This record gives sequence, C-alpha cells and structure tokens, in this order.
Amino acid sequence: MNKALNITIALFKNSLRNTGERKGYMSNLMGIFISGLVFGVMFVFFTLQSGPIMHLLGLTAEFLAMVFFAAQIVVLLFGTILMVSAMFFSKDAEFLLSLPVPSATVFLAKLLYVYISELVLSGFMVLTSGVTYGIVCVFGPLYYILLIPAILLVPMIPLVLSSLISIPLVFVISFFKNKGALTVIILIALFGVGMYYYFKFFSNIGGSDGMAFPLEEYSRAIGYLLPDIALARIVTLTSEGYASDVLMVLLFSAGLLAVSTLVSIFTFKRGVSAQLEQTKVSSSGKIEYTENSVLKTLIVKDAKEIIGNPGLAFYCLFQLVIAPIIIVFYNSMLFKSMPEGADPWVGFSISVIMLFLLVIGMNYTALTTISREGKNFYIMKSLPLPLSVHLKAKLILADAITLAGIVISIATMLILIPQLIIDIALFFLFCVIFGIGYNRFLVFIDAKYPKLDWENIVMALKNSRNSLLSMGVCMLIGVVFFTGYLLINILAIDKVLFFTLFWAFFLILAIALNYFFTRLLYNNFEKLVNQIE
Amino acid sequence: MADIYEVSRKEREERANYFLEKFNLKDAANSPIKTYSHGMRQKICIIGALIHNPRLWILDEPMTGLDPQSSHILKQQMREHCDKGNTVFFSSHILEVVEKICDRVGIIDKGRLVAVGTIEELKSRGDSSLEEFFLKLTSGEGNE
Repeated sequence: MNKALNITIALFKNSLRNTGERKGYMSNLMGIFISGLVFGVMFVFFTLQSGPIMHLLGLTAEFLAMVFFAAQIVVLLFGTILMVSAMFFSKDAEFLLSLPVPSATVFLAKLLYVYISELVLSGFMVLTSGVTYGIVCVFGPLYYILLIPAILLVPMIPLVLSSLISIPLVFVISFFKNKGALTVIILIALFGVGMYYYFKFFSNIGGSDGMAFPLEEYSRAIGYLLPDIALARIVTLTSEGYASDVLMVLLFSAGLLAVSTLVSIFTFKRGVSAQLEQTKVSSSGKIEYTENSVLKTLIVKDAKEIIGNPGLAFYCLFQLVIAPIIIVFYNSMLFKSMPEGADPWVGFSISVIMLFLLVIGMNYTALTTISREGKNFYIMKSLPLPLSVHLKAKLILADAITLAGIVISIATMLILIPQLIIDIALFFLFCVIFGIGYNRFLVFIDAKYPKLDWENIVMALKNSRNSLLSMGVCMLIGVVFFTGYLLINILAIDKVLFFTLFWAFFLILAIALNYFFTRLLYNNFEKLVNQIE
Repeated sequence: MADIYEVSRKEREERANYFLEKFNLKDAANSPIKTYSHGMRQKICIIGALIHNPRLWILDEPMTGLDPQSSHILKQQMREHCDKGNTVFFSSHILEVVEKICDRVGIIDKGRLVAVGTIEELKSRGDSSLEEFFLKLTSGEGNE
C-alpha cells in the first residue's frame, strides 16, 4: 500500500507542478473558483426546490440517495474516460510498469489517482447539496459528521465499476488492430447506453397520469440503488437496520475493489503493454505510397492524433452523441409530464441550452488546437509551413465537428418539435454562424493559454481554465437567448413582431461575434504561437 | 513529411525505397511507428528528414541509438552527400566519428565556440588525436 501511495503522490506532483507561470496558474484557480460558484448555486437551487418536499413526503433518505446517484453517474461517465486514459494511454505507463513493483500496485496507484481527481467534483456536488439539505431539513450535527465518509465513499463504487469494465475491455481490444479507434467507439457507445438508461430511469419514475411524484414508484426505483440508499439511510439516521446497511455499503465498496484488484493482476499489465506495442502488421504486403495536399495531410494527421488517444477522442466527439440524447429525453419527459396541448417552445428552449453548452461551448477539438501538440509542439513550429496553414487545417477539423454536432442536434429537434420548423431553421443558421466564430475564440484562448507539458492530456483538460471559460461564455450567451425566447413566449402580445426582432438581433449578434472572434484570432495567432517556447 | 515538403509521388517512392533498403527497414515499413524500437525510430526520423532531398542536412546526434551497421550506412550517406557538393552540419560526442568523416570541426565549450578548423589544422598543435585536443581545450589549456 505504501508503494501505491508513493506512486500516487508522484503522479499528482507531476500533474500539478507549477511551471513557473504564476499569472496562468492564478487565473486558472480563479476560473475554477468562479465555475464552482456557478455550479454550487445550481446545486443549492435544485436542493431547495426538491429536498424539503421529499423530506416532508417521507422520502428523506431517497433524496440523498438520488444526490449520491447523480454524483456517481458523473463520476462513472467522465471518470471512466480519465481511468482508461490514465491507466492505458498515459505516457508514464511504460515507466511505471518497469518499476520493481507488482502491476496490481501500479493499478491501485492509478485508481487512487483517478479517485482523488474525481472526488473533487463528486465531493463538491454531494457537499453542496448535502449541506443545503441538512440545513433546510434541520438535521442534527451527526448528519454532517456522517456526510464526510459518505462523500469519500460515493465516487468509489462507480470508479471500481468502471475499472471492472475498462480493464477487461482494453485487454480484449489489445488483440485487435486500430486499438485507439476501437476504444473510442466502444467508450462512446457505452457512454450513450449509460446516458440512455440514466434518463430512462428518471423518465420512468413519472407516473402515466402525469403525477410529478408517484411516491411508491419513486421509492421503489431509488431502492434499486442498494449501496446509495443504504448509505443515505445511515447518513440521515433513518435506517431500520444499521448493521445490514453498513454491510451493504462495505460489500459494494470493498468487495468491488477486491474483485477489480484481482482482475487487474491478470489483465492490467497485458492491456497496458498491448497499447504500447500494437500488433505488427504482416510485412508481406507491398508498400503503398499516396500523395495528398499539405492541408489534407495536416487535417488527417490531427484527426489521427485525436482518434489515437481515446480519452481525447471521447472529449472531442462525445458531444455528437450526448446532445441529441439529452434533447430527446428532456423533450420526452416534458411531453409525458405536461398536460395535452403544452407549448413545444419549452422543449425548444431546453434543447437550445443543450446545444449551446454541449456542442458549441464544449468543442474540445478547437479548445486543444495547440495544447494537444504537447511536447511535439516544436515540430509544428519547425516545419517549413506558414502558421496560417496550420491554423487553417486545425480550424477545418474543429468546424467539421461543430457542424456535425449542430446538424445532428438540429435534426433531432426537427423530429421532436416539427411545429417550430421556422424557429429551428433560424436557430440552425444562428448556430452555424456563431459556432464557427466561437471556434475561433476557443483557438485564440488555447493559443494564449496553452497547456503543452502534459503526460495525460485528459488530466490537462479536466478543470482547466480554458474549458471552464469556454463553457461559461457560451452558457451566458445561451441563457440570454433562452431568457429572451422564454419571455417573448410568456409575455409578448404581438409575438410576430417580437420574434422578428428577436431573431434579427441574434443573427446580427452571431455575425458580429463571428467577425470579432475571427479578427481576434487572425490578428494574434502568429504572435501568440511564436511566443510559446 | 513527403506531403509537407510537396515531394512528388514518384520521387518519394524512389527515395523512401532507397533509404528503407539501406537502413534495413523495408520489412517494418507497413508497421505502425509505435511498434518500432528506439533505433528504428531514429532511422525513420532520418528518412523523414531526408525524403525531400535537402541540400543542407542539420542533424543533432544522428548516430545515437543506431546499431553499428546503420551508423556506418549513415556516415556513408553523409559523406556521399558532401561529395556531391552539399553540406552536412551535425553535432556529435563521438570524436572518433567526427575525426574520420568531417571536413571541418567546431568545438563548443560551455556555449562558446572555442575552436574551428579542419582536422589537420586543429591537430597541428601536436595533438595525436582530436580527442586529446578537445580534452586539452576544454580543460582550460590552449583556448583560442
């Protein structure tokens, strides 16, 4: 255990070392603080809305279990990516496995590293909601004391589950060619399936008669989350058998950990080694030479680099899957819970927010334009090509992914709410103009604050100031859009006039922002890149 | 690399096949570079740098990691390239190699160019080898 701890400390020291740029370091912390504040307010708001009601209805532990489950879903989905990336695709993997320690020790160290990384977000979610819940329901001090070990236990179960999935998965994939691409496809498919069942779980809770809280059904649904409900009952002191609840929690946490450690002894080293040394292709084939333009070569090179790193590929491509899934489920839930004849603009408004945040705001392809070059950045600078050619290639790739995401999400909206075809068509136009312009802003941010010194790019992306800034700015514009659209639908008497003005304003804004961001990038890109050592 | 330097298909095929043959990499040509050993990666980097037939080669410690045969081949290539009227500028810590193949040598000590000239000029001060001259120079004696 000591050796595993030493390796974990070394991993953190490596990823958190101060590179000396105090300005970037401090503004990164400021960005994280502000984002924490915004998300904290959201969690508090959610708890205030639902917590007291559920407590009054006798579902005290169920609400807390739901909070635990929500945090675990976030950990399961994003922690799996970090886990696969940190375990199998990190540059230190080869070095760590060559140390005179068992591979299970390396596995435990990496698991601990991922656990602590995920604990920050899940802990924040559970702490914010949990403390708010305790205050509004007037729980005693023992609740807050018991909440602390609960916060530590919550991320453990999904992480151990994801290691149980990912280790054998990577082991099996190691026997195939194109491991990187295969891992990406499987991860995105798993992610899509996970999100599907997550939303199905919550959408099925609503009764067919449209009741918001069919108590029995809800209580039964949450009851399936055995370790969560057991943990929640312990924390809220509503358990009918503490011994059995404690045993349930320990069984899931320690038991799963023991099983995954056992599995790792046989498969972890092989999985890592296989990622480092791909299966050799038969040498009997003729060597084929192709010729491409400089631009196409750079685009293909960038695309292969993204696909070759499953963690990075997931971050760059998951928006193509997640946004339409969320749009489908939120609209389905709305149609199910609202009385007949409900306005479709509610679903449209929520879809808008999802598209803004997930497709435009979280375009990691644009956001990692320079950063993903990593230690090979010097190659980009030393090639005999103008920086404008590099920029053009990177923008084409980023724009292609943005456009694909927009088209898929807009098509989904058209299928679900065909009554708003004109609004959707205008929104599509807005998204294309704004989205392309916003990509230029994201490239500018990355050129200004690049992160090149990484061993594992997924860790470099997580909690980075750049991604938080990107989401924040896009969210702000999205909220303004959403609010305007909502207010016109609720308050306006002459909707035609107001909607004409609304769309004219936002289309002009999109054109103006596109122009501004494009100029910002093109006027500064060369200077910024040349400044990077 | 060939695309970046806009090398025609015919020329890249000729030059790639030539170097792959010379460096004994033809059997590994269809394998991902990720599977290569250090020496093989070194060789493929050299091939990539030379695919567009530059007149000037600037190489940083090119012999590091190469097996003796590949090292010999590279030295031959460097010599042939210079004999055609081109230039090879490379850095090395293997003074025997430098002494054997270079026309002119520059010695850098602590970031300063402390000596430059032909092998004969540098050894004309009575040193039997370049190594002796180098050690004398960098230990403080005979700085120019």
